[in-house]
Amino acid sequence: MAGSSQTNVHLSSLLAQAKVWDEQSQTMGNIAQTAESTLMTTSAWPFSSAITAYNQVCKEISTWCGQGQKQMLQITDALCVAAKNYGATEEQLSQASDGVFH
Amino acid sequence: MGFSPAAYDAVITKIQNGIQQIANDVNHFISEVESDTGWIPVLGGWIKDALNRLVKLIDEGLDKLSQLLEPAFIPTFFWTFGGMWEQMGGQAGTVSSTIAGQIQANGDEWQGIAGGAYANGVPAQGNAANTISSLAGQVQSACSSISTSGYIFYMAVAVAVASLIAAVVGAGTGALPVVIGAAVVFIASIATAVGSLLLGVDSAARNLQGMIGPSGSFPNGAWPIATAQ
Repeated sequence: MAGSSQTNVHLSSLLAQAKVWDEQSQTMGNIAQTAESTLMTTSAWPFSSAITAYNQVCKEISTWCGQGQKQMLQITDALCVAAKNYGATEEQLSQASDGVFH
Repeated sequence: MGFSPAAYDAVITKIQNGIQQIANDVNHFISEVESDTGWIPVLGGWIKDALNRLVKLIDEGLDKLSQLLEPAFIPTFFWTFGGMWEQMGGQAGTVSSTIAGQIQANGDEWQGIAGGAYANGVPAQGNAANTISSLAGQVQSACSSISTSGYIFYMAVAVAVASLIAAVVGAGTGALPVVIGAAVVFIASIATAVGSLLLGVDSAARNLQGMIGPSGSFPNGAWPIATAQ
């Protein structure tokens, strides 16, 4: 009985963590998209130098945030795999990863 | 002097209206001077030369002004985007603190997950998010600086326009040298304002350029790998 109780604690902890990481992944994805949406598609003197530099920063930050989204999703997956090993159901895993992990 | 969209739009409208008023007032002034002096044989020729010089100066100034109004929407864009970057910075900061809380509460467990493959890479995620938050703040600051530089520039242009209009409105034939002088000052004022704007814009551009490239939080110029050992 003690072993089963410990398993439940691990399972709920892993699922809760997976959900948190999944949410952070989504936020990073949103930031990546928002940063991309603020790119300036037009340029005109005397603002040209600032627009060029601004667009470079936007692209770089957007790229980094997109990579961060993927890394955090990978962490979510690792937690889901661990939770699965502790007997998590498909439904529990789907809820914890917003349906991304199967 | 902070940027305000309403105040900024009012300044741009004032300049647009001013361009038309300068053209009208100068044409009216020239007609009056020609009417008053055109019949005088020698003096009339000198005055005609002076009027031609005035027309050239005004045309040059108004052409420049029209060109400078074309990018007038850009400071407003930067101001809007600055607000968005402030929000993004807040979101990334929340991600960072949430991850820090997770690591503090459950960090030990990572040694047992995926054979410990994530143990070293997971904490770096929060640091990277924190750096994004900081960078977003710097981008917001640069955006604010650019929009304010634009505002100050167009304010200076509006003042130059108003000064020229004041010199031309109601001026009589005897004021021709004064009007020509005002046109010269008008062009010089715009050139000075452009110089100040370029200094502000280039300074913001340098600050933005300084943000990109590899850093401690982004080794090799990329987001840290979660499975790093």
